[in-house]
Amino acid sequence: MITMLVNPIAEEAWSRKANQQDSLSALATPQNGILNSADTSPWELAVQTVIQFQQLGDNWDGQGAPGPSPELLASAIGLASLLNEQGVAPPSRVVPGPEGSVIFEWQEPEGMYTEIEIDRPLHAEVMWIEPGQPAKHWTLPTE
Amino acid sequence: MDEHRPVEDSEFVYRRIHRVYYQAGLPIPLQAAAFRPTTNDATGLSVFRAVFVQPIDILASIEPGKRNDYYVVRLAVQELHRLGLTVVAEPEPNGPAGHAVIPELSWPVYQADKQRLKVIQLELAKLASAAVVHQPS
Repeated sequence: MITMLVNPIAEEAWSRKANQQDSLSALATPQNGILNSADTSPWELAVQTVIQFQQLGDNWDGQGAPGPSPELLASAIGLASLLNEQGVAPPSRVVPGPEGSVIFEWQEPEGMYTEIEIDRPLHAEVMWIEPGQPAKHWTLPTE
Repeated sequence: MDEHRPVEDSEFVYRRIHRVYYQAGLPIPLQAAAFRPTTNDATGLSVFRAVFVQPIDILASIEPGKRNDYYVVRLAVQELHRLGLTVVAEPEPNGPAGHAVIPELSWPVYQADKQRLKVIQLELAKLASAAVVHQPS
């Protein structure tokens, strides 16, 4: 459940997860993935999508958008691993931002909307919207 | 017609949306990042006035191999006003006709007021999700 997203994300834990792999290419195979059981993890698709962003390169959109850096991609995968461990449901979609970020987005049937934008290594902005309530914003790591 | 004349409330504008930001089957198919400015958007987020161009025309300035990666959405200027946004004519001599910008979504303004504007970008994504007028073939 996305409501588990309110659990703290410690910088040390995030950094450890982001550094668990020697290189992003090592994540290309499930056996070597940061998720221990990548072939059964609900986050597998999201992580594979992030890994594919390695191939974007600069100007991927034909309008000059930079591709996400390897360090940022490692942070996105590390955060995915942490959220997976916390029992957070995988996002509805994962997209590259137009300025080199990575965005996890959740859309839930009852109208709840959440977005995490990893905008630089080991830093993310969270937007959480419940129907009828003002949007809540915070940054990761939380501690 | 003069591209410099002010944008009227009754007009519509087009916006290019890369295919990575569209996912059919979601309640909101378009992702809000489709309305996120880049460092190139110094004066505002780019749109094109529908009175000057057809949807396909606004893809002409995208490099040829990537033009088919784009959706085009159509937004009513009145709807933008309801979100607190304006549209200002800013013709580009070497680009498609009818270029205009939404100054409230320029890169510097977005950086200074990101939290509020992310909510507005989500509202734009909801509006635009119902207003796709061109899709990749």
